[in-house]
Amino acid sequence: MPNIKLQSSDNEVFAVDIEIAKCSVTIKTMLEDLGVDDEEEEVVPLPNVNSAILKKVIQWATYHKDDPPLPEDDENKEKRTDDISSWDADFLKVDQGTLFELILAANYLDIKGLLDVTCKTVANMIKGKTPDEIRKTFNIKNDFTAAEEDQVRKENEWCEEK
Amino acid sequence: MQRRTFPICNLGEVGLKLHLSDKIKVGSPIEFNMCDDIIQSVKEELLDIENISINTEEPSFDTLPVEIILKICSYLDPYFLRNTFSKICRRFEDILADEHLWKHWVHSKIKGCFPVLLDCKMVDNALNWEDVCIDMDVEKRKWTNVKNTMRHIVVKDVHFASVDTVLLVNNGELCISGGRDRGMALWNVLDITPHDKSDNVTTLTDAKPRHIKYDAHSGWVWDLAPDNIESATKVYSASWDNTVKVWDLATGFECIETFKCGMSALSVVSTDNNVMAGLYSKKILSFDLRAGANPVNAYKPHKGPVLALHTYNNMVASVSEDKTLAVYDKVAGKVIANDIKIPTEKAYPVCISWTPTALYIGDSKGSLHLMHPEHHIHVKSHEIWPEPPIIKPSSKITSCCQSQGNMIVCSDRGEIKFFYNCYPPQEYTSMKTSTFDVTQMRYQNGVMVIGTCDSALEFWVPNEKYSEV
Repeated sequence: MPNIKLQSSDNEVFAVDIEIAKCSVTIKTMLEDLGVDDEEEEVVPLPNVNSAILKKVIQWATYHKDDPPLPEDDENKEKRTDDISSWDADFLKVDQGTLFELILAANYLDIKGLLDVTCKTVANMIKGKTPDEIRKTFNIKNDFTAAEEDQVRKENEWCEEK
Repeated sequence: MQRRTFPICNLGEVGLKLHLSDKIKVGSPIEFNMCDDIIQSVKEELLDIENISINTEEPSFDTLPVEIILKICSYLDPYFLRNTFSKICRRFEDILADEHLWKHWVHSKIKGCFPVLLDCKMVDNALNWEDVCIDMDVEKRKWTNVKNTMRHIVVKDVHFASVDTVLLVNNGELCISGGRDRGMALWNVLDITPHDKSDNVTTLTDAKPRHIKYDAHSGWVWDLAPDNIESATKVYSASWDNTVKVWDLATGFECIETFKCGMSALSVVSTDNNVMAGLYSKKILSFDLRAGANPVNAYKPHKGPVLALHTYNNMVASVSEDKTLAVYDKVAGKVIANDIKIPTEKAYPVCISWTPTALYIGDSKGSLHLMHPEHHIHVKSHEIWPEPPIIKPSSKITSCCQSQGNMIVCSDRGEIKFFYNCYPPQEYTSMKTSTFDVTQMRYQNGVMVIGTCDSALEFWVPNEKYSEV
């Protein structure tokens, strides 16, 4: 199998099987557009991904290399978040910083499967929580004024009564 | 130093500015000073970029790009998005304030057209897309999972003949029923508690209504209407005994007035003190509680018995056995449209549902006729229950309820269908009743009630209503 060399933002070079690298639509399109075939010495710089994250991404792509292609998003269908495989769930037992970096990398490299599963993980982390609990979980600053907060509380009281 | 995330668009801008300043350098000394300014601003911008890259060193939830926030939102339901997600921080609130997002959500769920008719004047201003989304999503989740979200209670042995009419008022907390036994009962919905909460369907034969009047009328009680559906103080009952009676809810369900109709009253509607009754004799009478027992006005828009009435703003719609629709303006005191043909073929019209987005008429053979809510002309007929082979009875549409996003249609054969309120109606689930021959269905604030010829009432009450008590 021919390899491709990917260079992370901190200049570490990874040799990856081309077929695995092609799960990234960004890389796949680049290879097709540039017609890079056997020039294996070419190094592809990925300035938006550091080596730790790139290593994780390659690990994920390697495990999922034989997955069938994902079906087109059918928005009519109920979007589930309880269908994360146990391997993915283990793979994503990481700190929040890494999780969000994986999301950004999946978005930049255009890897739909990885983006789906990471976003689902975040959705699961916030489901069933109150705004305050979510802010605490993700260390988000509450930038509403006290008056606005009161308004929200009133609205919610009304919701609960209903 | 190595920057991990270098925003490409900013780089482009900076590059362009440097390029411009290169050109300026060739010009006069005055421009040269300007050029210094530009270089200064470029330096500042570069510093900013540096700062940005430092900030994004540890990416956090609230600073993710908007397309990723939206992707995460696509896994959350609209109710949660409005009531929780948008309250986390201003940025999330701003992202979700975009009406297009909600519009897109609606259109991703429906195959047809929403709203039902695009040429309604009132619709565009009145439509809150966020509310529509939540209405669609909440109702669909509830009715596609009735076993886990609702209590289904069947009440028997209170009426001893067909329960021909039911009514829900005051946020679905009060129910009034009337029947062929000539009696009427007033129910506190939450008092009808199932004994065994694990049961899916509970049948009660010892349920106690708050009040019961065994001799409410001297004929069948055929239709009911409240003075105000949100906070009712009086209920009007139409009967085959040629009267409409007024019942006071505050003083123990006493009859405080008897309107004389001179002919069987088959339907009744009301707004506050004004009460309108549709008669078997083709007439529609108007009463005022303050003016006593005799009608204050009468009109005759039909050539056959008046089968159903419906009020909408200051309008009253009526349908008749003559298969026509008539519309009366209460303020102007005149009929503004009549003899509007309803293409029911062999069937006759049974019920009306009129909202800003659509006027529907259900008929006795399972079709729902869409009329334009503003010019009242026929637009399209939908076969909700296709006509069965000749040996089998067809399904009569006994009731139709619309909300902004949903529509519920009930047949006398005991099937209730749930739709997105779009064009054409898009069914997402249906359910069967426990007893036979449904006469009328009402739905208010999550509570549903039906009356049946099996002398029963059936309630569906959301589980959370019990925990609130």
